[in-house]
Amino acid sequence: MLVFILRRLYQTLIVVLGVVVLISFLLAIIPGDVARMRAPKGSSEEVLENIRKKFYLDKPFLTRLGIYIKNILKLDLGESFTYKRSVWSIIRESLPWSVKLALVAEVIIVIFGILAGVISAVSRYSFWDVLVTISTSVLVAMPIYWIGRLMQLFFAQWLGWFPNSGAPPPGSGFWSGLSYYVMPATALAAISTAYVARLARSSMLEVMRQDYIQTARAKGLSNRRVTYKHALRNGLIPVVTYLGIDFGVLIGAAVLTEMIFNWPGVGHKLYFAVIQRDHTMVLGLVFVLVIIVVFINLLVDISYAFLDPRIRLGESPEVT
Amino acid sequence: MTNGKDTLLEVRNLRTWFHTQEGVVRAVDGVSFAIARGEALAVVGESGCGKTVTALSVMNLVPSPPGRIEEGEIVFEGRNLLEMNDREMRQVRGNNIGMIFQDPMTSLNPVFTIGSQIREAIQVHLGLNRREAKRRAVELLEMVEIPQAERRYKMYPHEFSGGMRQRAMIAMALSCEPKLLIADEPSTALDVTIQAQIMELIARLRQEIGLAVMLITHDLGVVAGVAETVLVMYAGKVVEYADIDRVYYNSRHPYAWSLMRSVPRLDEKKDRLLTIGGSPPSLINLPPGCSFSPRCPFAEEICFQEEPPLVEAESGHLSACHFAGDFEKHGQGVKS
Amino acid sequence: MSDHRDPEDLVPGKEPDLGMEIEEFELALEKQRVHGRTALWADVWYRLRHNKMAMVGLVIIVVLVLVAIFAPWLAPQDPLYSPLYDQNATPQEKAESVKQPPSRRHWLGTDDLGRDILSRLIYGSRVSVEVGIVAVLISLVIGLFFGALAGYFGGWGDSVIMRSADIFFAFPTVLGAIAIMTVLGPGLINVFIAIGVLGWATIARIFRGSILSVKENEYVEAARAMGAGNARIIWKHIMPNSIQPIIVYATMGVGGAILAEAWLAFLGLGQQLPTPSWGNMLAQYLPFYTTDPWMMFIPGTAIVVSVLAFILLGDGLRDALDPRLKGSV
Repeated sequence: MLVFILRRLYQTLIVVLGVVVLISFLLAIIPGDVARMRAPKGSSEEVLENIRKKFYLDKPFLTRLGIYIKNILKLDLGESFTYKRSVWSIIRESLPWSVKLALVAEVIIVIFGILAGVISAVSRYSFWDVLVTISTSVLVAMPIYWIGRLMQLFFAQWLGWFPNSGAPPPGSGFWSGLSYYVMPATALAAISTAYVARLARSSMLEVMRQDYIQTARAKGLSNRRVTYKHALRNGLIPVVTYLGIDFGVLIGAAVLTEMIFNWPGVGHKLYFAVIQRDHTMVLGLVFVLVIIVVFINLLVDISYAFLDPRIRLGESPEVT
Repeated sequence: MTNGKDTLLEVRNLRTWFHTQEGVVRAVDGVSFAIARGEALAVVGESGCGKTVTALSVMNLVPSPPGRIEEGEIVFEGRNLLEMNDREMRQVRGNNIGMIFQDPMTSLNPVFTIGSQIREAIQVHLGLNRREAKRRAVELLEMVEIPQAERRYKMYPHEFSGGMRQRAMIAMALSCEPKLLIADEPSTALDVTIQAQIMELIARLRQEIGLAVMLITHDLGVVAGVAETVLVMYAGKVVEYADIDRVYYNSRHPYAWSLMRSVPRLDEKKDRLLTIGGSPPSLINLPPGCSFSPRCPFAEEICFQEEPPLVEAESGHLSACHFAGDFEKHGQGVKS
Repeated sequence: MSDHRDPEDLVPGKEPDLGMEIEEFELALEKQRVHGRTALWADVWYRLRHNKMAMVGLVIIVVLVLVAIFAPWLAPQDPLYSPLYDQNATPQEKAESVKQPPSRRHWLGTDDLGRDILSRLIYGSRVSVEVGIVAVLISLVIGLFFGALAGYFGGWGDSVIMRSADIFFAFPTVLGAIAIMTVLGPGLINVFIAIGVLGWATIARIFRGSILSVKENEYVEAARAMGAGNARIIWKHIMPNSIQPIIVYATMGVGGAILAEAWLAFLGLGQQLPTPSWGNMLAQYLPFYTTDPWMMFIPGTAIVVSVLAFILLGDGLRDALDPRLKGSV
């Protein structure tokens, strides 16, 4: 177990360093005269020169790359050009909103994804199975922001069940506050839920074919016990791994969902940074989000080890 | 073959078919046999001849769909298992009939400890509490000669070697003192030395607890020390059924006869081993006549046209061959 | 197993058949299955043809490609023509031309600039097909090359390649694409590059994995023993047997690339207006969801149907390539 955790920590360290280098590289190679792109039109040459100095644009490429790497390692992500504030302060302000939304979404994914997949696998070829198979296939083929718009159209505009967009205003009670979360969290969770349901279904079907399931039946255990004790524990292992990998997809999807629902999270800020071509802010936000994804993956891998004794006890995992 | 002794299990005219996209696979097609209390029957045949499906039919564990038991009776202690409902059948499985499988590496659930897997059956069937069930499980592990049973009890399957896992499987299958143990190729996946140990263990347990055994194998070599009776299957049907000496030394079916001659033996000096040409037929498109005819060295006109019935070639010796009666005469055409 | 095997041993008058013992025979069958390549692909096609969903997917894909190729002949009108910018159009004509619901003249109606939506949809299919093919090809070229290098030769090169793959793998596609596109600037070519570059890591991983499992097979040993060079072994012996999971992944990847174009268009980074793409059409119609919700359903449905087609075909291919997995998603 310790060996496994240390090895994963080492891998994570390399990935983090790689991400730092990659982001710095992207910052450093931006083509064109960045100063001119950013400064207000008609700025004097002096102003441009100041900007160039500030962003080390007057230095040669490699020096610039080195400076950026050093800064990021010192957790200095630079200053947003549009907001005239440090990228960190923007993250600090918006990240909690994103985390809250992602948590609610993750709960939806875990509960509904696993439930739908397992029920679908257990009653294979039933009406429910066909419904789950078709709806998950359609969901994974949908652009996520369109899912969000459709939900706004049906549930806010036509049915009026939930607020159309925005975060709960300060001072709103628990239930009214929660109603603001329902649509964005569901939209954000939709595609991942579909993937989890498909994976849980196929994983359960695969496990149900295994010899040890036959052994369990031959012991005279009830179907329920075979399914929910012997099969589920094994069937969930790939699902848990997937949840880790999927967290990245969720973060990516958050950019689009937060925009559609006008949710004041990091994704929303990232969207405007993209629209404004605010390079430092885009790359700074992407950096932070990617690092979060990497660490969540690490945590999931470790928790995965607890589910599977083969890894917990020091054997190498079969799936990589 | 029970010879008037107390019958434990009797299978009559069992047909288990698989309805696949390519057609109906007649995996088991009209198989009958019986096992007396304490008797050991070996079911022998090549892969895909229906021996495992026969065993799964007895447990009522044929994967369905596509498999279905179309016809037949499986009478265990006077009750037809095929007429039982789900709950009654579960009382039989694990409790009255234990089963072990071919590959011990995959037959144990990787995420539970060996102990908890053995304990589970005991708790379900015998209604013991956790503590008592654990004591019983440790005893069982000792019975199957697993050293340091107390410690092993807490281990996971991947910490066990193949032979140890098969021992644990046997312990699990015997945990509720069943009257019949079905062993599906219990030693095939193991090393030769371990194979012998496992077969010895089964033979010893038989003596000690008066267990009846249905041993399924493609390897006639392992049958000798364990079983009294042999049922030879080919393409879903019984082709020869007699006690072991008769099948070994006086086979009445060319398939069984060739199988005997493909086993290397220490007691006979032979330069060459016989091999059986060709492969088993597809169970969807069986050849007309005797299923074995395309590969049979003695086949004659009639073999390609008429299916031979299973008849008594001599008293207590069933064979499904047109020439079962005068097989020796035919057999002389070939030197082994 | 006996060394004294001699077919003559069998019955006189009978053709000495493949004399082998039971297990050996199964082994031979297994090898035949792996090695009999033509038979394998015929088999795959047979199984695929009998998979209804996969066939539906395939038909949709064929139609999609045909529409993209023959767009200029199929489109009833000029996709860029807007009466609003037509000096010959009367003010009344201009006013009546925008956001018209489907009619005989405009089968799928007109957009907010009075352009024919059907024509834009037909031309837009070109962008989707191009993104799908080019982006996946870029991923394939990079991914297969590095995957083969890592899997076949191993050693420190393997470590370096796989650790870099880990780094790329850490980037969620949307974030990675945003980062790259911000630097490169918007536009279709840059979409190809961004999505293509981000996809290589997964392909390299899969290919490396399947090479590792194929590499140890006897026929590869045999080829090496017979003096075949590395390139030849990879190309002739390992490739055909390792490529199967890649085919499945690439098929699905085309669908993924079409979706990614839609995301990037939403962020204003994809195909730039006025040239139509399904992504920028959807993004363009979204704001009208309260007043004219029908508009967003047109490009939206087109995207969903074509992405779904690639998923269905990919699923079908996986089942057909590996019948053991049949039924799993």
